[in-house]
Amino acid sequence: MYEKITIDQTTRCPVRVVKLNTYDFRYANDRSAESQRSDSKSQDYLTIRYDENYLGFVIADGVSQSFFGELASQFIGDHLLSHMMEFGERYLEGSVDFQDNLESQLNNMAFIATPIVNAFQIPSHLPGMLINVLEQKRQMGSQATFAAGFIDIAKKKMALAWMGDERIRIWKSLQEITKETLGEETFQTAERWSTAVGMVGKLHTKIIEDSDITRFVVYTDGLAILDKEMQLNPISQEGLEAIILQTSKMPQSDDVTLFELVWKPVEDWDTNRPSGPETLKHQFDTDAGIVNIEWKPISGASSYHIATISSEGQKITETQENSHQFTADELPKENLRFSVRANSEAKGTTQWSNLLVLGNYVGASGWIIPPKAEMRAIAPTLIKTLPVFRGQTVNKVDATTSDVHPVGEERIPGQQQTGSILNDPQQLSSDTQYLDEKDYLHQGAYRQGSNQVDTFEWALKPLRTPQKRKFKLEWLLISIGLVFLVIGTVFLIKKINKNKNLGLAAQTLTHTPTHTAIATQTPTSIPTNTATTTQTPTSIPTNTATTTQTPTSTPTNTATTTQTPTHTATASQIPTQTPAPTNQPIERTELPDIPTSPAEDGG
Amino acid sequence: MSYSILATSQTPALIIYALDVSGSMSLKLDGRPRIEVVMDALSATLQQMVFRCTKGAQISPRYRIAMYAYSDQVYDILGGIMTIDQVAALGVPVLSVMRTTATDLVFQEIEALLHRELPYMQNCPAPLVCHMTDGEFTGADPQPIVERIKAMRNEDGNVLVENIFISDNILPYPVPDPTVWPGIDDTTQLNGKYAHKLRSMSSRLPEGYRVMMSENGYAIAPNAYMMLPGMSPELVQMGFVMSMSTPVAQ
Repeated sequence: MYEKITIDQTTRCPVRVVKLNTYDFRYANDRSAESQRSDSKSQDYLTIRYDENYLGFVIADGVSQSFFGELASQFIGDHLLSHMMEFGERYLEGSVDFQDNLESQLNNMAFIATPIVNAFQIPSHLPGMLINVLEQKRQMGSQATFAAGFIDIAKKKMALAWMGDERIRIWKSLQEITKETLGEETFQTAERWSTAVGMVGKLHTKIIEDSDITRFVVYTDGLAILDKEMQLNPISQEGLEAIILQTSKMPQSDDVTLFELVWKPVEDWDTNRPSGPETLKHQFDTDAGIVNIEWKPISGASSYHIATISSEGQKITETQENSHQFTADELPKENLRFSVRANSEAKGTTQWSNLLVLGNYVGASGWIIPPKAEMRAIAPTLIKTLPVFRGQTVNKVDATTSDVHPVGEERIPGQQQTGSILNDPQQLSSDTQYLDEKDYLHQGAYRQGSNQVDTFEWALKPLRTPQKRKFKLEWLLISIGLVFLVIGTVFLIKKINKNKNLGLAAQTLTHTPTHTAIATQTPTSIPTNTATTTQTPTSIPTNTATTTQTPTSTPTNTATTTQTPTHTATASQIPTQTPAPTNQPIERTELPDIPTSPAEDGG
Repeated sequence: MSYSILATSQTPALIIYALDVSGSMSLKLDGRPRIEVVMDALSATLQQMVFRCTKGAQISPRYRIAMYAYSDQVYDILGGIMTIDQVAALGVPVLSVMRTTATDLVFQEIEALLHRELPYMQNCPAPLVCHMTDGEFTGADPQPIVERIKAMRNEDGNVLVENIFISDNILPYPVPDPTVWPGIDDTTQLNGKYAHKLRSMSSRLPEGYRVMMSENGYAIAPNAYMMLPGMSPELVQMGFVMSMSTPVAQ
């Protein structure tokens, strides 16, 4: 049985370490400065399941310009992790096509997520302009970038998948092998998962198997400051906390999440080692064919380790002096770098020094650093802002010149989540629950071992058939079921509405506020929703065809009169509508005894 | 690099609108009063700002806005500078036309405002002044004041001045599709002395703004001026989009 960790998006999770027999991992999460100030949720999400042999994780980063990005990040986090735990071993074995199967899964997840987004209630107290914008965003869905993985700890074999600009970095001891392993320019901010359409852009997948891998780190773009850190030295707990704190003080402070896994033996994360030697420099004697490396000595050092790092790997040389000579012919020719650390009995081992980069060998003139390729190409965002010529739902109200005036954490395994979107009754869907239960059932079957295979054979069977076809069929059936459900609901609602309209036509007329804040612009007053919001009864897409909206006259109480699609109120009309307070129907006096339905007022 | 500071809640962009509400703004543009076209464009722009600043249900105050309407007097529509979240709560402002075009007065107000604000916004994006007019000034020549404003600067760069000139014939040719129009540069032929004057009063479009414009679907060319011919509602809209193209954090 796996242990499970899920961070709480409503609060900070300081750096936590989990120590196991063959590996350790640590994780942390913090909200952006803005989210802390407004006490809103982090849009980052991290969830991990692990035991001694396997670990699965998902880090997701909600897109802030989408509809409540935290919805997408939590949804994709939970569902993708269940999927990875279920299919991870088969992905590693190659018995199931990683790319194809995961693509199908990601696209299918959108079918489950869309109703959750559609049902999500925007707080009604928000300004009308913001509500309009959020409704526009809802149409585009909630979106998140993610990095997910399933790791066979013993084999050091990983199935990694990502969309977006989460950073994934891998080391072999001192040698960072990220580029060699994952390639360049594969981390695009424009690639993401959307509740509306599933995948937006390309899904990247990679199976990595390397017994020399020692360290693996994933973090969100809020920790971009780390891109130039952690080159050689693992960051201590204290150092990591300091960096996270530092990001929260930056103007571009964003939510930050980190997950790091290290195979044993590991350098102690709890120890703050002294800084390594400084001012490394080199001299290349072309005549003698000697490369001399020199550094500022460390007081009390008994010896130094020189790491010669290149595309070929790394080599450690020990010396007692604060310089060393290498024969140029024996040095690696590609991507050559040096680092040094000191050893002393009193202080122990220092950190590795900053890298001295020589670059690529180009002949007699020695090594030259090639032009630096950008590690991550940032493509233009696919989130488009509002189409500027779209009809405005904000009604315009004429005014006189008097409107202006002259200038003068951690989850304990088995503990139920709290503060979770999916545990929020408002956002829970039965579909989601079903999928989760099914996922865990399959996972249970898969993890029980041979002793219990018979018991769970019915659950395993579908998984052994060609996954792609089976999955599509399954989703097709679910989709058809949903379509029938929706059609049935629509008919039911129509019928109810019809009955309502016949009996309570006047009420229908009055319950169409847009919650659109139309300021009458009295600059001397501080804007507050209640004081300045005018509920204009038109331009709301939820109006039914039977609604009457004739702002210049008293609405007629019939169910068959036509709707005026847009409303340009004249100045003289304002007083008749402006006094209608929030959540109070206009013309309410016609049916004073009928209570206002919150759903109808919700905008 | 100039004009590279992102608009964030800690380093918000200041955008100052100067809107001409002279009597001629009641003339028709594409069948509608010019003032109405401007209000539409302003409304869409404010919504787009809110779109860019929204995380969850929170509007991050990445933009600060001042808004002046001017005719024979200057009117401070917002009663000072407001953050975008405050403006969103207030809603779209309402303007109505008045009489003459005292352009110099509004730029005097803006100059004074910038003198007050600039010392406190050294780490912020360079402020932008978006001037919308439909005719020649009736008071003193505003250009000397505008030049002084353009010479003001913070760490990000000089204050940017954009002009939207609502006129049927500022260009000798129509612009049927603003999304493929490259904008006004030094070689663009303009009709009328005032159009030339407004061009000389306009800043060059910074590259970061141009990238943001391209993300909004516009193909404006490098070295274009921050000047838009308001020959159609679409071009007026484009002008307002330009005014809010300060790069923001994603």
